[in-house]
Amino acid sequence: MKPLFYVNFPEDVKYGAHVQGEEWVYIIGQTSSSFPNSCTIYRVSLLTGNREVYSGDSGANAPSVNTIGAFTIAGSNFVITDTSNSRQYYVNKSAGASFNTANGGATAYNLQRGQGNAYNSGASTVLSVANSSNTLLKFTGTTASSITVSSIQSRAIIADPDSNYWIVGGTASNVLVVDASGNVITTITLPDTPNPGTAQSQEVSSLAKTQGQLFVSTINGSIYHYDDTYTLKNTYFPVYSGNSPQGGQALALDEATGVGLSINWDPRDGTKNNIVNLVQASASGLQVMDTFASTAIGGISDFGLDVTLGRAWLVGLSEEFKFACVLDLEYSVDETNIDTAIREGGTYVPGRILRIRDFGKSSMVVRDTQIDDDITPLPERRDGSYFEIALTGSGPTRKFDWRRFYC
Amino acid sequence: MTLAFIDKSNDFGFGASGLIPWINSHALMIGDTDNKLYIYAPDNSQIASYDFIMPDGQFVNRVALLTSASAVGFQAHTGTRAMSVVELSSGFCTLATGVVPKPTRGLAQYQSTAASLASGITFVSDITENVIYKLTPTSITQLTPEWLGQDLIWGMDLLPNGNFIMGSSTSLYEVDGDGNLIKQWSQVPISDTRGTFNNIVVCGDYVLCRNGATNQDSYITLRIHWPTGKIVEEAYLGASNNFNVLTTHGASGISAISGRLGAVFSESEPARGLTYSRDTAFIDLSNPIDFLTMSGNRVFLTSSFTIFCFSITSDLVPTTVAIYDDGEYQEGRLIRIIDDPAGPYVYCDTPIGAAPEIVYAPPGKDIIDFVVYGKGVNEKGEVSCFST
Repeated sequence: MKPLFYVNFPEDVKYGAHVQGEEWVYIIGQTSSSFPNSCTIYRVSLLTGNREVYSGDSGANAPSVNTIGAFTIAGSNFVITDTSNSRQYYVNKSAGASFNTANGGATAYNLQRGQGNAYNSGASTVLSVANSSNTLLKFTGTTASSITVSSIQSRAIIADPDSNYWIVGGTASNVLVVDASGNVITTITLPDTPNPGTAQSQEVSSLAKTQGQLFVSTINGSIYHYDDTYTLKNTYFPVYSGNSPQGGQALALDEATGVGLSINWDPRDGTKNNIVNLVQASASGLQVMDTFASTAIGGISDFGLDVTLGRAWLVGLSEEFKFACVLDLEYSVDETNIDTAIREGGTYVPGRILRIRDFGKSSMVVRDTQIDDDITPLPERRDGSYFEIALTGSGPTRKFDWRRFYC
Repeated sequence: MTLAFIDKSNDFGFGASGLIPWINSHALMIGDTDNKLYIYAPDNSQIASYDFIMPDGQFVNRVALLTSASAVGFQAHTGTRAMSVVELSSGFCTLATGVVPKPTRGLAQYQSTAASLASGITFVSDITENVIYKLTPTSITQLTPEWLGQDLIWGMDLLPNGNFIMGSSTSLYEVDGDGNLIKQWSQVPISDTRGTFNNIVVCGDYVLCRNGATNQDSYITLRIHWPTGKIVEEAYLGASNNFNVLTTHGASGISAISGRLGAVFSESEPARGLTYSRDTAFIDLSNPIDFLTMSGNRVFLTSSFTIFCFSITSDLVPTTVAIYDDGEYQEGRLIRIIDDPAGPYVYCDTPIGAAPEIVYAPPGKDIIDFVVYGKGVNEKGEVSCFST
């Protein structure tokens, strides 16, 4: 993982939005009084690093946005939520010039990191975290409203890639799966820990779901891994923890492949020293594959990745400049078939194949397959080094062999 | 993980824990600003208190255990920076006293001491001068080792072989009980921190330490396999100058990691990686954590006026791993896979030195051990399966 482009901006930028496989990441300006318009959407090429002003409006429809609360792409629209009033804004993505306003009856919460709103294409609806408890903002088409959700002060929201629901993280160690009407489908409670006096609640800082596995990070710096039945499988503690809600961990995972980023941020000063980890998530847990740290990219407020393009993007406000940074993931998700077989005495036999991706100092089981008594092609991601272990028999008759291959 | 705690009206210093023979229990000894030394049991009940004032008339700010029956008390913040060795079994009485020649804050640093209960030797660093102090139950000796040059020792701990590991602004040093240099290690981590090696703790076959310049914001925690010296992991457990506090259980390989400003206490298994947490506790603190110390399966930590004690589960199973070929032990790599019914996963990926090593594993698991050694076309490997 290495930086390819640093892009500076004439105003503070906080949130980005991107459609997988597309060249551009859209980044929204933060303040209403900045150059060049009341509210500006920029776009940055993940391939060239070029920055363009994509949409700005200083005319009659210019929103008086004090603080952008969330920014996402919902089909053909950008959806922007404002933390200073109850309005939401939408911009037709293809027209790209005019802002329109809808009153949602509730204001958004000013998140320190992204995931303030989420579009579920199956439900054709955007839900956003709200400043008031037991409330979510709802945006369908160009109509904004608010809905009631039982017992949560929302702090992060994602669309469930496996359903028409959303997953909402709260301030009280709680995660809810909800539908577009606010009905609670599932309640997840982060584990209790021993604590003097009243147990300390954890605030969810981000959510990510891949391959049916849910990963929940908190401002305390922990990451919890839940399987497809929402049973806790693993706990990770990869980051410094402060005792105030300023630092912690945030995650973004590719829904299909599990490749993603985790961001650690400094609890003392949001403009300093963010750490970016390239991770691989799967049913067996979370594996850090690479780490990138630079004082130039402190204060990351939103981030994402595109495994098809092999790029990651970061948006933030460092000590030095208002930036977007494009990273080369240097990690391919393209697959190719690698033949394997197990032979004993010149005869093919059935058995078990374990494949382990070798990252040099760390490794990860990526395949566990029973094969028949024949040559069997098994796909693996390119640009990797692998160990393959073959096992046959059981107990005292168990036999093993291994090889290393590159693809 | 269970937790007990006690609040006091005075401000604790830094303490040390160990198996106290006359109560047959692990306990914490700690100084306080009320000119007393205290012993607290794992439930944080007070076992004993003793009136004790350092030779310079100050309260004891720092305690280290020399043996299970003797301790050394330090006073650091004010006055003449005294050190006194005291005997525990017959109450407290001064056996030997040393006075550090220059004012130093080194004696107040967390983990600026390391003690071998087996040999009765404790080393103390002085981070303002290129000296270390060797203490026994009856003596205090100042050493100015040639191998240190003009460098300073910022942290230290005891290795399983009885030697000490010490960290400076440039290197890690393995030092024997006489202060002789056994091995110097000077690698630069991948990050751009490049600073002092401090917060050094030993956990099984690993040395954990932080690396970062004092005034830099980037601190990384290194997990180094010892004695091969290979960096196995670089983790950003602490992103800022507000450093982490670490402590470990050298025998089982279980470590406890805590943020300096409180809030998270994590019980980990370093063989599985610093970022894995087998159990986590959140402590709502208004003051920073001063230090952690571990004895048995008890972890003690203080935060100003409060002592916390965690009980952890030391249930790992020791296994012996060696790579033997061509009539001699080989250096290589172990990839240990837990063959879990829910799917196999890599439990640890660690160097193996050219000698048998103890590598811990969780109990009740089917395990596939895969060792590789050699380079390129000469790379060889072996697979073995067993259950714990």
